[in-house]
Amino acid sequence: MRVAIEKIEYYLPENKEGGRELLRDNPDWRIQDIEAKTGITRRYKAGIGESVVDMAEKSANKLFDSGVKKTSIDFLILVTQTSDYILPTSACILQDRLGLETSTMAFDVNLGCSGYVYALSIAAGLIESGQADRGVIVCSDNYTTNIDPHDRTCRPIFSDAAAATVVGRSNVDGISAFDLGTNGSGYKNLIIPNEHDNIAGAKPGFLFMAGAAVFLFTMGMVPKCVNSVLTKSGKKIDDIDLFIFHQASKIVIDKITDNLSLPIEKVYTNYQQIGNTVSASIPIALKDAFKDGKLHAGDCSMLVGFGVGFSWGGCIVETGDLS
Amino acid sequence: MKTITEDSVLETITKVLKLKNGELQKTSALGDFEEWDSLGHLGILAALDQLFNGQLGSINEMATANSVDKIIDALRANALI
Repeated sequence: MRVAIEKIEYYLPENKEGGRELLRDNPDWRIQDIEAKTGITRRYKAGIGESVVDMAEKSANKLFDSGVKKTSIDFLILVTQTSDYILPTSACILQDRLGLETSTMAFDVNLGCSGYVYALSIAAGLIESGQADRGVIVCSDNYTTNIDPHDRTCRPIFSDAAAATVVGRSNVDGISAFDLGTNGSGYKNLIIPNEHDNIAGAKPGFLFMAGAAVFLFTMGMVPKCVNSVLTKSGKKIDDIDLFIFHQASKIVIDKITDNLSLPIEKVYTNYQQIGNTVSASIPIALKDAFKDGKLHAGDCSMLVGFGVGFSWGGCIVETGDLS
Repeated sequence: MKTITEDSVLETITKVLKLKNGELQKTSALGDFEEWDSLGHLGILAALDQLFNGQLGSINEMATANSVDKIIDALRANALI
């Protein structure tokens, strides 16, 4: 049985933040320098009281408004790390809000920047094993609600968004060659710590990122993941029409591109205007790549997510036109 | 294979931080110069990774090496200089 991505829709909150807002709260920040290094000039922030489920609902409803039948959905996977509640599972709330059948299996996946690729792997497994025909993956996070406004490492980068993807049976092998991995020894390097944690430079309840450690993990692991996906798929770099990496920031994607000696035109980016939207960044970039004419129906792209955990995942995707 | 020396490391960091020759000391550390903030530090790591042909990602000590001394120690401990 074969599986493919059928459709992607996404939602960006109304609140936008640029350099002016950063400077207003941090007059000593050199905004041009920050923007030159991160490449990010705009971020989105969930509205006051706008939760992960609210954003997820808005993105998923775009799918249903465009003609996807709710009764055709067998599973709902919500990828989030900023769940509305510790319990219940946010996917359960979302199933009800979306009006999906009670026969829908719904569950959360607590992963960050690798989460979309993991969810694709789970979705493919459910369909290939015959347990489901079609489902929806929603990636939704509002990291910005946990960021100290004076945190120069996190605030210029992270952005809120939700992206919804329909995955279903297909005549083509549309999702394949997964490489998934974990190195939990790095968990303290990207974390919202508890009161009892003792992590230098981190404050309980606020997102903390040890930038150097995360960057080194990325430099070391992502090229290995890319090469593993190439080996598993039997493809070469030349066979890949477009690489879509998690949109971490300019310095990260430039370094990956450089280390793998990838042609710049084969690496898609949209972090400049959207920011780092955690697990939603890959589906948003995948859709935008079609809209921008960088990908066409039947093209072969490689998706690679990496980050908090540490966790990573890569795969090959071939789809119809997702624009 | 081209030998990379301690001086090449200092030269690379000086260039990334846009410092004048001689301004960077072995005792210099993150926060000592306007350009050497958390983002500037990533620029140093990226440049050193290029200098060492993509080997920096496998050096665990580099994650906490926030001064010239510590960077050189980490590179030396991994026989890169």
